[in-house]
Amino acid sequence: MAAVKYRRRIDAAGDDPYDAEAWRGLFRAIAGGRVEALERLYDLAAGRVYGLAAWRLGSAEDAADVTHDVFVRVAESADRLREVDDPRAWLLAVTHRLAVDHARRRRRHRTTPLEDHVFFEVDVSHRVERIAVTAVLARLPDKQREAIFLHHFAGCTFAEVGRITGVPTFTAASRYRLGLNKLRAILEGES
Amino acid sequence: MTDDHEPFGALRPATPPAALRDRALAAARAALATRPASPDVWTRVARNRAVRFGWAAVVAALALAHVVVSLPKPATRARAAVVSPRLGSGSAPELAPLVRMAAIDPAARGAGSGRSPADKENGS
Repeated sequence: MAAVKYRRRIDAAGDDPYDAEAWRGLFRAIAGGRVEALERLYDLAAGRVYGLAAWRLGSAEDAADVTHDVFVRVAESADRLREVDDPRAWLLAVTHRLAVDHARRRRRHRTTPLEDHVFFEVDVSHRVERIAVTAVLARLPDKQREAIFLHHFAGCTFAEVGRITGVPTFTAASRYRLGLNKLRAILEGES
Repeated sequence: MTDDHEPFGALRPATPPAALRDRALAAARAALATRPASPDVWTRVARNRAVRFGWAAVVAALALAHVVVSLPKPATRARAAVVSPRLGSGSAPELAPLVRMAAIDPAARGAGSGRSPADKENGS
């Protein structure tokens, strides 16, 4: 029952629920050179892509750059899109790799202050909560934040999180649990 | 039992800025337009790893089958041994077909002794 209740939170990244067959159709259309399919894919997937980049990098500007690069990469890889079995995982894996490369190039350190709107939508009614949780998330390692976003907001299983980030399933689950536990401990300690 | 979504409550993850859509799609459209032309279906088939592996496996199987089929069978070798001495013994050429006919039936090797079945029965 807890699993059912939890799964209703999937795809809370502001996108439509994930429909693998529809996305594969879009990939095939993009492979055929159809521009409107690219636009539709952006509307379906940009929330997850941007969110992952933002949670990994801790910067709205960097997340925008990575999102831009992801969709350019989609277009450049159009010929190979027909062979992609799981478009969401493919897109998020590309996002992960580009975010890691971007972080290396920018050499962003953890001490860089994060904007309070990086991780969450600006919502006046939950401003205090947003600022508090953002401050705590900023203290987590990038990999744990990334795992939390992928599993909690992007609706990925731990196996998918592992494939996207290039680690075993157990490692992905550990990162998620450690991050969440640390988050709760800090929030409860401060409250 | 901990509740996974409790730490975030009603918070929703940040969404991309509106201006990013046009910028990203413009760059993606340009990349899509300038990429090399998509290969035709036959080129894609030829590049497909599974197809290439299957083709190589079939070729290997045919080559192996050819080798197996081409190997001389043991009965053929024995026939050749029976026939060759007879032909090499200076027999008249007109007898060669008779020799070959005898070689078809291994049991007929005994016919070379010159004794008819009736002679064999009489013991002469």
